[in-house]
Amino acid sequence: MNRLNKIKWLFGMLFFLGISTTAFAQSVRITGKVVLAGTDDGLPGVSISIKDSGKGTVTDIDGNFRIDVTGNNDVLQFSYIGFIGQNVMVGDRRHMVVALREETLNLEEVVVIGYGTQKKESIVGAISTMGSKELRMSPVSNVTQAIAGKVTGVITNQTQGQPGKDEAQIYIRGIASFTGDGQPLVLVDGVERTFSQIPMDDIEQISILKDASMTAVYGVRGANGVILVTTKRGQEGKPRISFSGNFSLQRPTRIPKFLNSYETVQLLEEAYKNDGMPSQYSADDIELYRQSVGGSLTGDLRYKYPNVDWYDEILNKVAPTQEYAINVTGGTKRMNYFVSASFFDQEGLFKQSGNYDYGKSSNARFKRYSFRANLDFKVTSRFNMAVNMGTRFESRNSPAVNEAWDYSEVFYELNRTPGWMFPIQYPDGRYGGVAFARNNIKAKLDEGGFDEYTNTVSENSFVLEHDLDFITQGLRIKGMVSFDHFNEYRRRFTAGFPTYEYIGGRDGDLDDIDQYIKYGESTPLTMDRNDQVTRMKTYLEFALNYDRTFSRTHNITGLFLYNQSNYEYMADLPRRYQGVVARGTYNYDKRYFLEANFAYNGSENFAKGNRFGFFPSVSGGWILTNEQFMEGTSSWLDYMKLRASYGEVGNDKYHEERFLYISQWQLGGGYIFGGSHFQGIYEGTTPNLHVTWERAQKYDIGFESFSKDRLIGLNVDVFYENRKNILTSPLTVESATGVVPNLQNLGRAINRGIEIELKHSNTVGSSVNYFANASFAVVKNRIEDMGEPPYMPGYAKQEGNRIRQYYGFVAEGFFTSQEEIDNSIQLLGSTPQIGDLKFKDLNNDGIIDERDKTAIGYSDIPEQVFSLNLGCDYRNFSLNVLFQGVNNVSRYYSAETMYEFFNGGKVSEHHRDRWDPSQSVEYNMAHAKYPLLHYQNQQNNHNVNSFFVQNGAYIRLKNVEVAYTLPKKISHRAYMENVRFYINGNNLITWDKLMNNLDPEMNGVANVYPIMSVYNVGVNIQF
Amino acid sequence: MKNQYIILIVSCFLYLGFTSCEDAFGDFLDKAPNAQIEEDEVFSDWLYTEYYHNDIYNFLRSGLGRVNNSWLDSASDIAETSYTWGGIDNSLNFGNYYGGGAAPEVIDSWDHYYKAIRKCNIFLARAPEVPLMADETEEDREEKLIAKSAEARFLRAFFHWELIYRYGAIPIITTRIDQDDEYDWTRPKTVDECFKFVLDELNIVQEILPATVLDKDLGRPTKTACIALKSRILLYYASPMYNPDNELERWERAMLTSDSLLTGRQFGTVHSLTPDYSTNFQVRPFLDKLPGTDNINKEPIFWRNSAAGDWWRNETPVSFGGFGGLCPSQNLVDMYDMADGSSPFAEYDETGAPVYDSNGYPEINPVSGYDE
Repeated sequence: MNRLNKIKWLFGMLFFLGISTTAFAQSVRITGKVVLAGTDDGLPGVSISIKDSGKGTVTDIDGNFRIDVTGNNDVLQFSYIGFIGQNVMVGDRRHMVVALREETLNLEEVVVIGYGTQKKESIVGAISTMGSKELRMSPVSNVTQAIAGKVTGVITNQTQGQPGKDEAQIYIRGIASFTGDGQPLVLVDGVERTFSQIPMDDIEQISILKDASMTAVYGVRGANGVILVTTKRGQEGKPRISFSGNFSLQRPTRIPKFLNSYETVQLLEEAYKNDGMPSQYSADDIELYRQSVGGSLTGDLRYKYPNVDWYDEILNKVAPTQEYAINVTGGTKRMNYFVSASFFDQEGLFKQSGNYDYGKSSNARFKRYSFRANLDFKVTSRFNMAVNMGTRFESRNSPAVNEAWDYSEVFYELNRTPGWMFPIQYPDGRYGGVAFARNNIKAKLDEGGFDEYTNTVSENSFVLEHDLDFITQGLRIKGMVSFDHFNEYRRRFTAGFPTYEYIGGRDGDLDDIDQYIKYGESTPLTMDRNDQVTRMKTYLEFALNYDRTFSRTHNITGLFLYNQSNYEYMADLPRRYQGVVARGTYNYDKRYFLEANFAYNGSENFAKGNRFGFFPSVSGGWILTNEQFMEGTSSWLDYMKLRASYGEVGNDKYHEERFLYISQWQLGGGYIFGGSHFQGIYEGTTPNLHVTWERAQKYDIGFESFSKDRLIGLNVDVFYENRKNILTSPLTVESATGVVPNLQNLGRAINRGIEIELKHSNTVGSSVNYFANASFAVVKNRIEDMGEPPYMPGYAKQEGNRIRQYYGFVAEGFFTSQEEIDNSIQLLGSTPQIGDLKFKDLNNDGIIDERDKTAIGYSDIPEQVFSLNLGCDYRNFSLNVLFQGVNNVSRYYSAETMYEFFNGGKVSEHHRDRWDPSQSVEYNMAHAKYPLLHYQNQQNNHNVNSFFVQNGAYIRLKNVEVAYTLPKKISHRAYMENVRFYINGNNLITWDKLMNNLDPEMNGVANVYPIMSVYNVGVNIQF
Repeated sequence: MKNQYIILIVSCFLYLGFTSCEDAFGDFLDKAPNAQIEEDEVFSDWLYTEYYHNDIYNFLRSGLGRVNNSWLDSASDIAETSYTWGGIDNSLNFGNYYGGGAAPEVIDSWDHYYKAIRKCNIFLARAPEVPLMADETEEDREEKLIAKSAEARFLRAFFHWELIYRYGAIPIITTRIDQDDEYDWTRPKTVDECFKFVLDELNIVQEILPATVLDKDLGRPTKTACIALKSRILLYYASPMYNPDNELERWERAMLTSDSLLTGRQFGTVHSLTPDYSTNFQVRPFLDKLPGTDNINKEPIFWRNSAAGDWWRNETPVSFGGFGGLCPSQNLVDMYDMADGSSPFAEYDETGAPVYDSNGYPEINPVSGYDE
């Protein structure tokens, strides 16, 4: 918009100076207005010409124009820098409104790359970018979630949705290593930082660097791809104030559907019978459960035959989120500024009576206050200085329960606590429980305490930049220092609470205290945890930049950079990096492009002499459409580029244990002589003196094109990666040596794929613009070497299979006769029965045991991702719809929601179609979709096996946004420059093939806070 | 002016080019010292060396809850474990020998004892180099070194023996072999070589080990322990498993060794059978070997010390305040004679078990007055 303002001003002046041509014509006068699509903002300076006549005009400062045409068949051509042009047949209209759409494939656009920027057209590597507009379309609580479906070849996976802990994992072109988490390196404004909690309104651009030509400059850290986040900066002009407010409601995308008490006890009786266990519920009991479910039970019987829907009792249907952000941006000749403040507040779903002091609550809640000031000073004409300050205060509240990224005690209990055995509370308020499920989660939320976790983040950097054109023209020197500090403080208050099991039977007295067994004691609220964590990061960078054009056709740029970083976590030894980076680019006449990069860097984690690695890359590009011989196609083809790159990049982020080159012996063990313990020392892992980073050899070939008027755009990237030196345990070391074998860099994997983007945009009439962008990516990896012994049978190997593929038994349907069971020896933990899962004897030894495991299903990272983004705008309205999906992915869900009566737990809807022993074998063979139910002898079916490996493919209506921009006449009257209202949503509808009612994105974990559907209304006002 | 800058920049590059690349970056990445101990530090300090030596004993397997919390007794027919969630039931009875939940006893013995043997070998190789401590004479050290080395060799022989009776002809390892070392892994052709190695070693250390140890050293091997181990090994060596041709000379050697133990000077003083059989079933027989306890149990000759704790509670019958994890079987009861010395059953087979009739009941010896 800033550019727009400048242009507006410039063309406004020109217009008043009378430079614009006014056509004299005899015939028809057309008046009209050119506006920015989706608004009624007039676009000034749009040139309008009558096709094949040479006559033309430009729009005035408000976007209005007048032009005289010869007849209805004349075609008006509208064109404007940075916007997609339009041709409009005059027809019988005498007044027209033409909406121009901003060019998203703008080749002049400046893109942030590693340690610099480049114009889009001169980029010869694989990079995708997204701006704040695309991010803003997703009303999500965490930026990492907003990337899904918007960047081709990027796979995201969100596993849980607890406020403040709902980051999505991001895999750039999948994974290529079977150690480490495969997560990319993330830099914010050139410094390694996380970006998940940066307010979206502060973000200008996110660049995703994919191939070696883009990531080689990050050397030892770049192999998993790199994400560069750039925050907004000021531009010269009057102060512009922008305010946005959002209010949304979230609800879980999916929650498990458990059966009610009546159905459950019937299946329970069946399971008891299958396992030869005594019956526990008589026909009368079952009838009472039927009445309980129907709501016709009265009095005490309701407590004796309860039907508790734990999810319903503990969770609210929806929870609110609000976010307010304000920023001011502008600049003078000496100084540009962007300053912002924002507040984000997301509430959790837990119902809680709130009986803690000072309004403390055990409900989950995340609040974030964040402030940013990016200031640029032009000290002299050659000397620039920038100060960037970002501060956040994050507060996360949760119940005092055990939590991990894949576990939440609350949801574990919701998924496991039986609903038919005890009521949440007895009439006198005592909480229910039984011996094996005494942790009544309602009691825990009400009385068990709460957890408060605050994190203060301060991220600051200071940049100096000086022209060195007195040495040679085009040379600049730049220095940057940054200092980041994190202070985390966590307090947890816990209290004990008793739960009671009523043992008085159907006719007992609920008021009789002797009829209860008590579990646990009531204890007062005390501080249970008081942890403080401090982290500090300093980063230092010096760079020489060179950029010059010779004889108008030879463009040369160069970069030489030194950097070092120091990261300190509490009292641990600091983690350090140090190195140099260089880049040279050359292009001839914007037709031929050549680029070479290298990084020479290392970390403290490796032995001296093995510390530094050299990571080079070369790439080249050719813009065919700038060639003379392509002139013949210029009537329909605007742009076509071919590019290719090769390079080597490293990854040292693969193992938590540091200093593998040192033999670390430990004090420990020891022995008792006489009556006292004598200290021991034991040998650690054998040192690996040559331990080094992973090395990726990456190849990429790209094709970019779009047609005249952007009607069709097609981009294709094909890539291949050979990841070497993966740290893995050699499985061939003879154990009679007695050594603890070290990890060695002997693993190898390959990762290859293709990314396709197909774009279409067009205008219907003169003011309805629409676009459709489809993207599709396939990424396949294969483990080539994992140190597996040569004599290991092929089926048992992981080599040749996918990274992180599931391992288990191959289920071959159900056992249908006792004879089948007797034919092989089953050593899987319980003796199978007719109707249980039958596993394949892969080594044909007549024994089903651990040796029959093999790779099953896919891995938990999708191999195919696709998206379809549709949008249109008309007058002041705009609509944007994003579908996103994945395929070739497997999920293995938490036992509590997948298996029947697991650990005394519940049954779900998918257990209705079990192998029913009251029916004939033939009937079951035709109808059963789940094996025989068990209460005790579950082990056979519960061995990890292909039956329970679920197809995790899904298609999701990821985002919908409808926006309305207030007409200028109205907003100006209220002294507002621009007012935009919008309604948008995230994760709205999901289609999948799971057996249980869970979100397919959650990567198999079900005992966690679910991920959310979000329904949001918002407004953005600019003054 | 301009040229000076260019020279400066070029000389920077030249500097980088001519020094070794890594050296040009200074010491920023050198790791700071911290609390880790490295091998050379261990063997430069006798205290650490002794710590290392102490931990060799830690490889002696404990009888307590040996198979995933079950006692070995429950793997035989004299007892059953009552745990459904682990122990013998899940690890052995079901045939789950090497999957998830399998017992270290079954899957880890090879690794476990070779790790122990490595530890002995490293100690034996490196202990002689450890420099004298400040107030230590060479004689003191010589004495310590001889004693500790004898213990290490005893244990090394013990660990080899543990492997021999599980696996037969195993590689005899008397040197340190590191991960990347070349080594000829050809196993001995006959198990006889293995027996010879272990017995020779024990013969050597028998001359060095002390006859008795001080109370504070209880748990370390003595001469008696050495002879006892030898006698056990010789008995195995004479048994049909290793002695298919039934060489009588082997039986004789076994007998003589046992005899030397029972007639030796230690027997009756340091070691003796507990006079009252019933006290041998006290809950803490091994702990009572500890100094300061009233009832010194003289039966154990070589044993693993464990910390006093709740370990006994898991296995003790509920009526004794335990959790009843180890349940004696009728077989165990049937193995005993009556108090008056009479046999409760009419007929026994060659293993000493009563002969059962077709209904699974043994015929009672009416004289004994036994009633099942």
